[in-house]
Amino acid sequence: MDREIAIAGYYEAPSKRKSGRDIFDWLSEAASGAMRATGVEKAEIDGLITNAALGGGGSPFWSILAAEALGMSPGWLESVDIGGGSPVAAIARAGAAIKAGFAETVLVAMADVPTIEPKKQVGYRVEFEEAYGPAGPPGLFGLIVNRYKHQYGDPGEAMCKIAMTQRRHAELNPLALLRTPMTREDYYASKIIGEGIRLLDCVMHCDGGLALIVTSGKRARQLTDKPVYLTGYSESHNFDAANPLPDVTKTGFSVSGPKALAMAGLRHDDVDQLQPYDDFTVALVLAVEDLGFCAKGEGPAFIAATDLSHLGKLPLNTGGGQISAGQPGLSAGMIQPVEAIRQLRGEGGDRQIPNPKNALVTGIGYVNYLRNWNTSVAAVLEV
Amino acid sequence: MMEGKERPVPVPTSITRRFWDSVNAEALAIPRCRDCGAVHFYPHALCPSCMSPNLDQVPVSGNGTIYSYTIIRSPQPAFKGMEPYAVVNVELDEGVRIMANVRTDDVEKVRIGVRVKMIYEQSTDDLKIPQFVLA
Ligand SMILES: [Zn+2]
Repeated sequence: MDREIAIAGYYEAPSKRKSGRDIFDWLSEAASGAMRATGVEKAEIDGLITNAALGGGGSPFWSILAAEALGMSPGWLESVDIGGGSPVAAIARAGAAIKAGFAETVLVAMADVPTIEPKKQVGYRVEFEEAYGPAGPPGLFGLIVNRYKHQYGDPGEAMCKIAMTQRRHAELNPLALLRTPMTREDYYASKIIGEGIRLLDCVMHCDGGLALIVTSGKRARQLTDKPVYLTGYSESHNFDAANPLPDVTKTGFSVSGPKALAMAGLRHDDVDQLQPYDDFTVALVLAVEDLGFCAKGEGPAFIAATDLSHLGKLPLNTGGGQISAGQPGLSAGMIQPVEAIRQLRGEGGDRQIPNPKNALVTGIGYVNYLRNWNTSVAAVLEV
Repeated sequence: MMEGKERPVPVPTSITRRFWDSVNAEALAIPRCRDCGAVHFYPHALCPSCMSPNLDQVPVSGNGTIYSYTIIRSPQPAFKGMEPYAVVNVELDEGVRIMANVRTDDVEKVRIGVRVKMIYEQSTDDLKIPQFVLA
């Protein structure tokens, strides 16, 4: 992909639990923060894209309400509803609109308030899952962990290393909510939610908002001397949908990961930082396998053998990921691209990766009935 | 995610009514495509394999094998007091998978590969749900 889709700057609001703040309060802070960071004026923004949220009422007129809340009159408007994959997908959709000529400067603004207004599920989940008390996503992921264990061996040590690595990164991230050092003992002493999943494997909901400005390469180079380009992108939804007996350990990243890397012309060894969507630690074990960093079943060995710290061979979720930074609902998928961009701009502070040139960023959305997650979004960002 | 204190109850839809009728009759039947022969679960309006609307229902034996499981130890409020309990992904002998609980006093026996047998549990006065016991 050419360098025609660019990110000119970003803003991440400090997340908070039970903030009591309206979702559009968060969205407004995120939007104005990104505009301040880039110097982009309101009059220049001709596109707006946001995320369907867990909190905030879930109106079917969501992006319209967002434009109204921001006092904007965009010429292109969209809301993305593919769960945690929405923010990374929104960057790509903004880029597609720019390349098509529908807009030139798009505000990608994400917010959610799940801790003050959790949303009830609708559809088949109520009918075929909830009567059995699977305890929400932790139980659904427990079913995946235990099958993985059966097929390939226990991923527990890899999950522990991921949790500890990300917590160490969160210690270095002033915006992270969980910054207390974590030992191996802490990990193994944490409460079991459902067999296969401990409390420290899970994300913690919080309220928050993040935003960035996507524009043409040309305009980005005028706005900043540190533009970041979207150079590879692919998404896979509802992987293996028609198979009544799917392998639940295999995800759509096996489709979208290699495609995104190929589009950018990168090999796995070229990847300077991996910022994968992390709702549960085991999701990263599956992700490194299906993205193609190692063979299926070898994720735990790969993780054990790889230095994942910000100074290591493959820096992983250098801001602490969602698991240690906090998960602001369905806006949380913006944590990964924002951290990647921060690193590419050399703004990583105490956790700065030495001179990264690219990042592989992912998003995950929803968990299907007795299968794996639905949406696997993969993007390559480069300077 | 359920946040309430009340146990959730399935509410049949125009697509799933036929399935729930089979459960209430204690003769659970799964959808099968008249055109391509594929079976699927949970019930859809179209065959997920070929998108045909010509779907039949075929009865199942109720016998299956645990494909995966988890033992819930920290449940959501509506299920407090029942823990530990088993949530399972059961592969029926007829080739589909279904979520349920295994009703047992010994959750340690709930493991992958273990054979189970379907039972019907009264969920509300007028609705049963499929569950399992160790075979
Ligand atoms: Zn068919």
